[in-house]
Amino acid sequence: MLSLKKRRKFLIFSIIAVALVALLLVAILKKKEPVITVQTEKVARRNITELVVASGKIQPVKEVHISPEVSGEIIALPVKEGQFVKKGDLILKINPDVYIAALNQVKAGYESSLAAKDSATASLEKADADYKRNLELFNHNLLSGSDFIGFKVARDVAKAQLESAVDQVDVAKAAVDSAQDSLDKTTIISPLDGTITKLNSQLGERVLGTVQNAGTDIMTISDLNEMEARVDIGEMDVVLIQSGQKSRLEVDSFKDRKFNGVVTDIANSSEGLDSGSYGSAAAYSSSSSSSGSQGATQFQVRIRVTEKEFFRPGMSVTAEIETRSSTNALAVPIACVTTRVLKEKPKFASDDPTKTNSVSSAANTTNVAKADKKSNELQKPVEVVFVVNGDHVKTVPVKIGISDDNYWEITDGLHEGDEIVTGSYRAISRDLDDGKKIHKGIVSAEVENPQP
Amino acid sequence: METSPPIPDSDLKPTQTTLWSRLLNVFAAPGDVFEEVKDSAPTAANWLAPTLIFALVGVISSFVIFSQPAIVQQIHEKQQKAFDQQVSAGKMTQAQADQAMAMTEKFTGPGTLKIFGAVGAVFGSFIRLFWWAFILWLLSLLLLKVKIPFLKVTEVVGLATMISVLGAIVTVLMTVIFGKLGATPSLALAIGNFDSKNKIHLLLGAANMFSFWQIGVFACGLARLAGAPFTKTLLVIALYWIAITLLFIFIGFGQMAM
Repeated sequence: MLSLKKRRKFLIFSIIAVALVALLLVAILKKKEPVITVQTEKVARRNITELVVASGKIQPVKEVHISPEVSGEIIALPVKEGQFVKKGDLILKINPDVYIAALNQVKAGYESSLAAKDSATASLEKADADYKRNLELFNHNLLSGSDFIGFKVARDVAKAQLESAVDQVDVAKAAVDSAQDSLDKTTIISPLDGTITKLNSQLGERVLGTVQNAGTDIMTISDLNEMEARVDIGEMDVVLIQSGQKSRLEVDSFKDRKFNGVVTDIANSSEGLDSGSYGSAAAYSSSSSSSGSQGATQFQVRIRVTEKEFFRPGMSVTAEIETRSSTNALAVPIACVTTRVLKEKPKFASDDPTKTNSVSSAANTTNVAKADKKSNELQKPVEVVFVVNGDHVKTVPVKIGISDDNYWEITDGLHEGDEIVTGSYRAISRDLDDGKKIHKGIVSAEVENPQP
Repeated sequence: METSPPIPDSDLKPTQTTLWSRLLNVFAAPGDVFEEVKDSAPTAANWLAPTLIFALVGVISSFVIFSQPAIVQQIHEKQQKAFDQQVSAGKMTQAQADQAMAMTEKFTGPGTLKIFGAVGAVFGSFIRLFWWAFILWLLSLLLLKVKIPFLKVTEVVGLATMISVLGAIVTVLMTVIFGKLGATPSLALAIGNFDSKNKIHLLLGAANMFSFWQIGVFACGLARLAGAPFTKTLLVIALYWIAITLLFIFIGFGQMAM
């Protein structure tokens, strides 16, 4: 029989041995998995407004480039840059001497043609009188036929000469009108009420007219009462833009204010990055494609500024165009949504059942290409969100709608109140997957502002 | 000052039990073991063997613990959190923090952690042995008014280290089972999210059953060597342990108290 001491020793050692063996077995058999620390949030409903942000320049709605129709030296320039002019005000005078001389010349030709016409008229009268007199004689057989024909022909010739003289008068008159018109064009008046926003030429410069050339761009007159923002929007976003959409404009020169605007026009063709002339009609409406040029494909959008302010053409502006909005929509932080390749095609409650039938009937065919395409679609990553399920996460595919700066609208896949993983970025983008074990931690910001 | 009546050298006997018996009996009958230590000639094996065993267990623990991906990840997350706090306080930029984190991850990989852990375990074992021996010797001198030969105290501490060996083995197994650092056989098990900056959590973590067990064995050994009552030596050592634990926790070295 063991002594009491020995029995006590045996008991203690047995307890220690059993405890160690039990712990060892648990440690060996327990499934080891790393625990990922995450931050979570509940899915809630929010109002989301999708914005398209673009930058551009402020320009006047009405802007006229003044180029002379006739060439010559500028002899009067009674305006300066920044001056307001009314419609009809004299803005430019070109030296008229050449055109006066030309007018006088054609006027003289006109007078000459008038004199020629009078002469032809007199000749016709004489020939007509001779014809009538000799007709009498011919009728009484007092004149030979050959002689009578001579008088008849003379009368016809005189008539034709009169007609020609009349036509020459018309030609001379037209020349006079043309010369007068050219003379008139040496004086240029303002076609609209506006401000001279650019003055390119000076007094004494010689300018070319637009008759046979492009013409010298002498000045630009703009109506500064109506301004618009002309912004460039990429091809991915321009499809969301429609006339009438509201916009908030931030002009760099007016940092403390935001202005309201309305989209008025959207370009039908792109202008790329090569075309930089804002307000150029050719750039706005030309059908020439710029897609061959390097850089992003962009379309110009015009936004009418509805508030008055002393804008200057060319001021930089950033526009936020409200394209779409969703009220009381299920929303999750943008950082929550990532992509994963799923083993099965995700099924949503909003999927059309008829499309499912057509897919299954297509799968029954021997169309290998369609089957290959379907398997390729399964390989494509889909948008997912990680939903907390106890101390694990579940990968839930979602359908996303519109977004703003902070939130994605979720149209299918989640319910209000679902707890989803919102951080860390590394966990969501790399570490997390279906069934992974998680541990809810705190973000760095919460360390400074601990929640009660 | 009283001194323990010196046992004449002629009366010092060689040890009657084997080393392994002494190492194992310290669990079940520490009083008998220390009585034999008191009466026998100084034996270096009494403190060297258990210290080496403790160091070996520490090395193996380091390799096992830092082979767990969850543990390494927790270490990296703690480092990331520390850098994030620096960024929030404006002491470094996010780019600097990202760079520092990348360097840290490079130099605190599992291999590096194992090596540093192993080296620390070996040195720590010996430092711990002589530190406790010094404390017990000092406590005996100042509070019990008994002068005990330092090597005898060292033998007692050495043999009592076997309790720590068992505690280390249990700690490793619990760390593997729970998958987190700081999973010790203490009151901290009741806490879900252990926070190493929370003083209450650290106090609960210091309340380790193997620490208490070892204090009891120290008290038993000191009582035998000094000829003092067990309750008196237990009180003295317990008071010291409480004081040093609180000191470490409140000056920011709480992890060392656990």
